[in-house]
Amino acid sequence: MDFNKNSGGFRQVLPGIYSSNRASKYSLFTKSANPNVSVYGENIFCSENFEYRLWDPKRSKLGALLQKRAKISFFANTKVLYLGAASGTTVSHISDILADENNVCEKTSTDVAKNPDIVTNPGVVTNSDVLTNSGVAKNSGVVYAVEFSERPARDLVNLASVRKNIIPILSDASAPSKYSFFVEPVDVIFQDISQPNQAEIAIKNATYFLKDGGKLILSIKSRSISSVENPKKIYRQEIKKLEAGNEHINFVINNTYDLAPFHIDHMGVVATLNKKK
Amino acid sequence: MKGSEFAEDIETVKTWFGDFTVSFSKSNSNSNGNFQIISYDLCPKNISDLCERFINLKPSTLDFQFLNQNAGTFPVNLRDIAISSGFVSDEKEYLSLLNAVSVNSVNFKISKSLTEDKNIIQAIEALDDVNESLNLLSERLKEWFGVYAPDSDLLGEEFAEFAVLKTSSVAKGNTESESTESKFLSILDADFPISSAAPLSYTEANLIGSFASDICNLYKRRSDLESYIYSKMKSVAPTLSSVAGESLGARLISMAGSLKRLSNLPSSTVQVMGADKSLFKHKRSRAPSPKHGIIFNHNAVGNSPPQIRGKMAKILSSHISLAARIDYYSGVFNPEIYESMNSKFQNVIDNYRKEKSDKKIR
Ligand SMILES: C[S@@+](CC[C@H](N)C(=O)[O-])C[C@H]1O[C@@H](n2cnc3c(N)ncnc32)[C@H](O)[C@@H]1O
Repeated sequence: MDFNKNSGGFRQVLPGIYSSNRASKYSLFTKSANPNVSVYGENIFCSENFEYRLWDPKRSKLGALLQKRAKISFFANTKVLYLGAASGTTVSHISDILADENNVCEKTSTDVAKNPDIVTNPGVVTNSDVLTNSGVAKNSGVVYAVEFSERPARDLVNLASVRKNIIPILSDASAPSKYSFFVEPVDVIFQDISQPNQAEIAIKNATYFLKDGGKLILSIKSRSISSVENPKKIYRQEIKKLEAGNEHINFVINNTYDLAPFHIDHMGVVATLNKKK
Repeated sequence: MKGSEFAEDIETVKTWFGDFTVSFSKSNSNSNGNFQIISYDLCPKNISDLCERFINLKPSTLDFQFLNQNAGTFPVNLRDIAISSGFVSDEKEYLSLLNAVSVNSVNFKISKSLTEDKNIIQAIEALDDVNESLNLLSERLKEWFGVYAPDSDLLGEEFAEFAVLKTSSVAKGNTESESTESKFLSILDADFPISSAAPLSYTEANLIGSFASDICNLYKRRSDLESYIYSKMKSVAPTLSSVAGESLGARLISMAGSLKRLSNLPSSTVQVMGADKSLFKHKRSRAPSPKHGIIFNHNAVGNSPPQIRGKMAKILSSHISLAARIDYYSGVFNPEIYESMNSKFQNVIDNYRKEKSDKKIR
C-alpha cells in the first residue's frame, strides 16, 4: 500500500492527504499539482522533488472537518460537485488530491483500518465516510466548482486555467438546470454556501447529480439561516430537511462535526444519498 | 412485447458537445424504464464552436439527469456518452476539453459584464457632457441667429434645424448667382410674417448655418447615446432598469463606479447619493438630513406630496439596492422586485390619502 510510504517526512494519512512533522504536529498537506504557486498565501514545503501545500483549517471548512477527524477520502477518480467555491481555496486542495499520482482509485478502508499507524492520525478511513467509486481510470477525477459571485470567480477561473481537473461554473447553485448540460453524475457534493435555503439547494443538486450512495458534505452556518434562533435548533431543522429530502431522494446522516474553533457557528454534516424507489 | 404500461417518448437532449435524440419510456412500475439513443448530432470539436454553444445553450427541461430520475437508472452519463459517440477518445480528452471550454466561457461572461457596465458609465458621462455643450451652444445660437429670426419661438433642436434651413437658402442663393446683390437677402417669407428681422449676409449665413448644423448633429449624438444606454441597461441591469428606470439606473451605476459597487452599497447611501451639498449642510449645521439625492428624479419620489417623499425615497432606494444585487450576482431579470416596490408605494399613497381624508372629515 502506498499509504504508509514515507517520503521526506510526508506521510499519506488519507488518499492524497499528508501529515508531517515539518510544521505543527496536526498540520495536513496536499501534494501540489501546480508547483511554485501559493494559491491563498499558504506555506509550501519542499521534499524530494515534490511540494506540499499546508492546508489551513481556518480558511477551509473541509480542512477543518479533516482536523475534526472526519473520515473523508477523495480518490484519483472521484467526481466532486463543489457548491460555493469562492476563489478556490478548498477547491485547490481537492484538485491536488485528485491529481496526486500516489492516490488510489479504490476503496481501501480495510487496509487502512488494519494499519495501526494511520489510526493515530487525524482521519480514519472507515466504511461510512469513504466515497464510493465505480470507475478505475487514474486522473479521471474532477471537481465541478460552482460560484455565482464574479469577483471570487475571477480567481477561480485563473486557478482552473492551470489545473485541468477544475471545471469552473459561474452560476447560481439553486438553479442546477443551468449547468446540467455539462455536469456528470458525481460521487460527492461538497456545499459551503451561506444561504438560508442551503438544505434545499443541497437536495436539489443531489437529485440532479449525486449517484445513489454518493456523499453529501455540507457546512451549515447557523447564523445565515436565522440570527436569533439557537444554533442547535437550526442544525436539527436543517438535518430534518435533509432526512426528508424530496420525492426522489433523501439523505441518511452519517456524522456531524462542530467546526469550532476553526469556524464558529458552523457544523459539518456528512450524509449518504438514498434514492427513493 | 412492449406492453401498454410503457409510454414511449422521443425527445432531444442537449449537451455541451451535441444534441441527442433519445427514446425513453416512463415506467409506472418500480422497475427501470427504457432508454436509448436513436441518433445524435455532435458539435464540431474546436474550442470556439464549443464555447459559442456553451454560452448560448438555454437550460432545457430535459437533460440526462432528468432521464435518470424519471425513467429509472441508466448506466449512462455525459462522459460515457461523449466517449461512446466518438466525440472524444478518452476521459482525459473529455476533461481537458470541458476545462478549456468552461474556463473560456466563464472568462467571457466576466469580461463581458466587466466592460459593459464601464460602457454604460462612459455613455452616461458622455451624455452629460453633450447635454452641457448643447445648452451652451443652443443658447449661443438663440442669441446670435435670434437677431435674424426674432419671432421664432422654436427651442433647442427645432430652432437649430430651423436655423440650418433658413441660412442654407441664403448661402445657396449666393453660390448660384455669385452676385454681390444677393449678399444681402432677407429671409422674410411665409414663416416670417413680421418684418423686424435683420437681413442676413452670405458670410454670416454660412457661419451660423454650419454652427447650427453642428448643433443638430450633437442632438443626434445625444439620442444615439440615450438609446444605447437604454438597451445596454436592459441587458446589463434589467432588474435595476425596471425599478429605477434606465437613465436613473445608469446614473446610479456611474456615481457608484460600477454595478458591483452599487450592489454593495447600503440602501441608506443610495438614498442620498448625489445629495452631496445638502449632506454637507446636514453635517456642518443641524440642518435636517437629506432624504433623497439623485433618486428625487424618480417619478414616485419627485412627483409625490412632500409629506411622503421620505418614505417613498426609502422604499425606492432599498429596492434599487436589491435590484442591483440581483443584476450583479445573477444577471437575470427578476420582475418581483418591481412588483413588490409598487405595492409598497401604493400602500404609502393609500395611507396618506386616508389620513388626509380623515383630517378633512374632522
Ligand atoms: C464561505 S464561501 C466558500 C468558501 C470556500 N468553500 C472555500 O473554503 O474556499 C461561500 C461562497 O458561496 C457563494 N454562494 C452563496 N450562495 C451561492 C449560490 N446560491 N450559488 C453559488 N454560489 C453561492 C458565495 O458567493 C461565496 O463565495
